[in-house]
Amino acid sequence: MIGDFLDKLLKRKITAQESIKQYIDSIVEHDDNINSFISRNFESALSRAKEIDHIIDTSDTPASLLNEYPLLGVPIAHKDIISTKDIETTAASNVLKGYIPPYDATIVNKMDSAGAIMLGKLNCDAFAHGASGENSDFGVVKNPYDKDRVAGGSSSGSGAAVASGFTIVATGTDTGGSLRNPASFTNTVAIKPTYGRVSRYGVIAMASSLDSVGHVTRTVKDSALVLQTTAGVDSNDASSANDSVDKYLEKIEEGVRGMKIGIPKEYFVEGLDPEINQAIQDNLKILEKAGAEIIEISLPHTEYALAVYYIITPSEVSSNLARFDGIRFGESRDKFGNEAKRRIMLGTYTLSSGYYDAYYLKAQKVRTLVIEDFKSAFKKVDMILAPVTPMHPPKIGENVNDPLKMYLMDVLTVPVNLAGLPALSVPAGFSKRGLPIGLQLIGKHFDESTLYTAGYFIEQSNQLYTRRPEL
Amino acid sequence: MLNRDDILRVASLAKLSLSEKEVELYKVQLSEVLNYINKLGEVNTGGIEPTYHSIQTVKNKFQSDVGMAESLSLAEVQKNAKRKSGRYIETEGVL
Repeated sequence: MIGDFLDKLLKRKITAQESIKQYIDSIVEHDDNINSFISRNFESALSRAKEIDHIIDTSDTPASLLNEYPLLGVPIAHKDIISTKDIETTAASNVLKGYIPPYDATIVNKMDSAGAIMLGKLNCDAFAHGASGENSDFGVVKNPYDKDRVAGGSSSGSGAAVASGFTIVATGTDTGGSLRNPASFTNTVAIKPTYGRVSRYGVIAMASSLDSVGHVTRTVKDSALVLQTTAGVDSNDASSANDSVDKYLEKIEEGVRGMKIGIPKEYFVEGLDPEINQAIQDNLKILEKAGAEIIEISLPHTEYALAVYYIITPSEVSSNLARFDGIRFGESRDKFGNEAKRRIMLGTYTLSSGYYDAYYLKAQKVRTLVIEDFKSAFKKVDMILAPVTPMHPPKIGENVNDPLKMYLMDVLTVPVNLAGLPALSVPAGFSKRGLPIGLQLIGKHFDESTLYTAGYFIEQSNQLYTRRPEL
Repeated sequence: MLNRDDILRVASLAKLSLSEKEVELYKVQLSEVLNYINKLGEVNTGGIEPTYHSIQTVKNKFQSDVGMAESLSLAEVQKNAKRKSGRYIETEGVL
């Protein structure tokens, strides 16, 4: 998609302004029914498109422009927990309504410098707390494939906007599944990079030892192309990794022959929807036929990972959200929504004197065991394949008053975050009711390339990216 | 398992003011979550070190490693504050 777009753009079959106008028209026509955007940035987008057309038209060697601007003219949108200078950034919460960041997040800067054009800020669960999009103070995002159902979360707007064709790229974050969940609910691709792969500077923090900045796209190659721009060490983020950045597109068409793919038996227990299981099995057969070796593995501490996550995350959240005091910026703390309050309270409790050892410290020890499970598995396999969610996208309102049930949606995604591993969610199938089903590929630290190679193969085999929702 | 006093104590620590309805609601909901979380008691973690950071290659970085960063201007810092006075941001007295 991006490749084709860049080709058309540079050959002047379309101008950047014409292209952006099309995306703007689409958003104006359809987003009231989806609610994926919190704020729109159309004037600036058109103005930037004009600049880009000027750059192209005055260049002697337009093709070489891609070296400096690999995302030239590409429409993008940022999850509203990502700071954009002089543009309202709300974290989808009334606490930050009207907050105007005085600086850009590093990912915003990088994509802007790469020539991308930002259309607006995307709706999500407030402060990224949620797995459905229902915790937004700006209304729920509807699933474009079934508007009575959720688009997933917390990066709900990101999944829905890409699925609806409102943007080619949508950034987001994944702390416990918040990119993979909406991608799998909306027939899109999401990368949750290795922890530290993409700078978190300017991203409103949720759980600092788990947050991972990534993005949603329609295709695997698009995802790889964008990661090429966003990955890399950043002196503004002390937790960002020095590890060198791969050339993610280099081996992407190599196929899966000889790849050892682990299937964790603990992810396929009773409670996994049979249609989701079937979609996974169908894709496994195709992988096997193409020469991949499917190996059953065990991740024995999987059943404890969610409990670990729901101690560590609220603990870190309670600390990170302490900065919202309504004094230097933002509104007062009584404007927090229910879920934010719950997590702050839970985290304050688990970190408090007398409880710290039993909860937070214990959780971090079990975390070590979860990580050891993955380390052992990766001695035998190159990557792990698993479902993303145990069930299909729920109807809007179904789980919103049952926090524990909502948390259980994360059961298959949180282990990856605890271990800091990369994971790629790709479309795997559709249910009989027409609901998208995704699968996730989990890799070794900094091995996003292998995930992209396998993901590309799966995508080209099942061709699900060609399917679009009726808006 | 959480009682009303627990909720009020924690809310006070977290500087959250809750309505009566919220106190009741969160007491029930958080007790349910804690109940689920307590299954960690089943896991033997004798001799296991905690993991605070999943990527081993990242080490502490100090200013001497990266040099002096740019800072925000006073105007930028004060921009989002509701109450300001001269070079300061105003707040309620705490003493």
